[in-house]
Amino acid sequence: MKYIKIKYFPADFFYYFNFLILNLLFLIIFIGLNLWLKVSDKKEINKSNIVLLIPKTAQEFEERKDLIFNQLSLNKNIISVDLKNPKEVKLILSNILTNIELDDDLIPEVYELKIKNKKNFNIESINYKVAEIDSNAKIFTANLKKNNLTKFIYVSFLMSSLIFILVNSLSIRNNIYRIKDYLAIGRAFGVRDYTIIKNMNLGHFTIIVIAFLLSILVFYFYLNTTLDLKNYYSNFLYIFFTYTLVSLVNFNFFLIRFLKIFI
Amino acid sequence: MIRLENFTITDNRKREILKDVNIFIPSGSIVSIDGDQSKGKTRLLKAIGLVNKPNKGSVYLLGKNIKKLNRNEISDLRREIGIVYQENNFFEDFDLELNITYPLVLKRGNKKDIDLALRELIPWLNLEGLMKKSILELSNAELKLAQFARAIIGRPRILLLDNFFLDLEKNIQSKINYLIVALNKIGTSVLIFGPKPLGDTIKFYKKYSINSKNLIETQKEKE
Repeated sequence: MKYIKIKYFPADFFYYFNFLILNLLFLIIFIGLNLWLKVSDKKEINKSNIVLLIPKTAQEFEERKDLIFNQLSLNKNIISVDLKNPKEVKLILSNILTNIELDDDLIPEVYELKIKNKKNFNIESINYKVAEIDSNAKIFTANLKKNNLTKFIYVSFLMSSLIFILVNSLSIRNNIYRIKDYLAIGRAFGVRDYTIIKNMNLGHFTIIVIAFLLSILVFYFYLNTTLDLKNYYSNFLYIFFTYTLVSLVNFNFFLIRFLKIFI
Repeated sequence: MIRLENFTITDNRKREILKDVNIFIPSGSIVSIDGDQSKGKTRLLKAIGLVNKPNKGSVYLLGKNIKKLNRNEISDLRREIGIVYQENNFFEDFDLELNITYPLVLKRGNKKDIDLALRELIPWLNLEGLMKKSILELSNAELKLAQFARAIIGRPRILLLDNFFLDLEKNIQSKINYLIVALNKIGTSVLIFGPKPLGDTIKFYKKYSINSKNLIETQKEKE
């Protein structure tokens, strides 16, 4: 046991404990964000982004609109038809057609269709029936608005990654400073760079693995009743490998630099 | 074994303390290097021990010019050198046993071999009973002996002692003398920097003194 400490964990206990807590915290953040993203993506997939456009310029616009809605109500796959805010639609079009003042009559009515099962929804056949009523009306797929939640998660991921790299770098620099005497004595007695680097990496890798296992336990404890975490094993592993790679690359950058310059 | 060629070292203010020194120390010899305080003994020791580089000239150890060695080759050469420093550089959070065996453990030493080496060496140095103690609990003399143990446990081919015999008790000095002679018999070259040990147990190949930025053989100086 004491030889394991000398070789892989020469610094004092509290450094490694703090390092474990730091890694545990970041792994919980990254795994949590990843789970959140996957869960919200799953919800998004089933949401329809199918849109119905009815131009207002047709004769007997209101009657034609009613007939179209009657036709749509016959399709049991369509849950609801929601009118998009005309001001929103005007804004989107104005952004595209810069310096052009759009008349309200020129802007079509836009409806978002909520579909039960996108796979079973045959847009072509519905469009055929709608065209029979109003040849200028059409249903097609479109992205009317971006999911702000997904954006938020991605931004959080990016911010967390930047903070992680900064904090990790500071922590590693601090660690190398604390173990510099061990490194110096080792080198003075003929220990090769490769042995030092290998031993230090194994020590840090062990701490990261322990932190990862603890973070998984945390999620199992809190989320296993609401989510089937078995479906996310590959995500966990992906996070673990990426996290470990970044952490160890960072660690080796400072360690090798220190060995070359100071010892 | 050890050869200095036009060897020059400077102090922290870049003033030369040894200039154009040329000496040869054959393998298996015991040499003493003395001199007044701050004349460069420790810096010379560190240059030979591959801790620092000379400012000018070359150092040849075991037939190799250290200027031409890469980092791995320097590490391999350092394994053949044992150094006892004047200051103590032990780890306070390790006990004495870990401090002594630290370099051997890092060099992938076999646990059985390390334990055997310790069992053979420690009684000679009166360190039994202290192995599990913290470094902070040891006296200066015990720390010196511990340094000596750490330096020789790996059976180095070159042993460098920096002011080692200063303030060392006579009975311990005599034990150390026998240990040095025993090491010398198996081929270790020993360089003693600073005060020499008492008694006639050790037969010196040559004795030098640092004077006027040079190494001068003291026998010649006497003549």
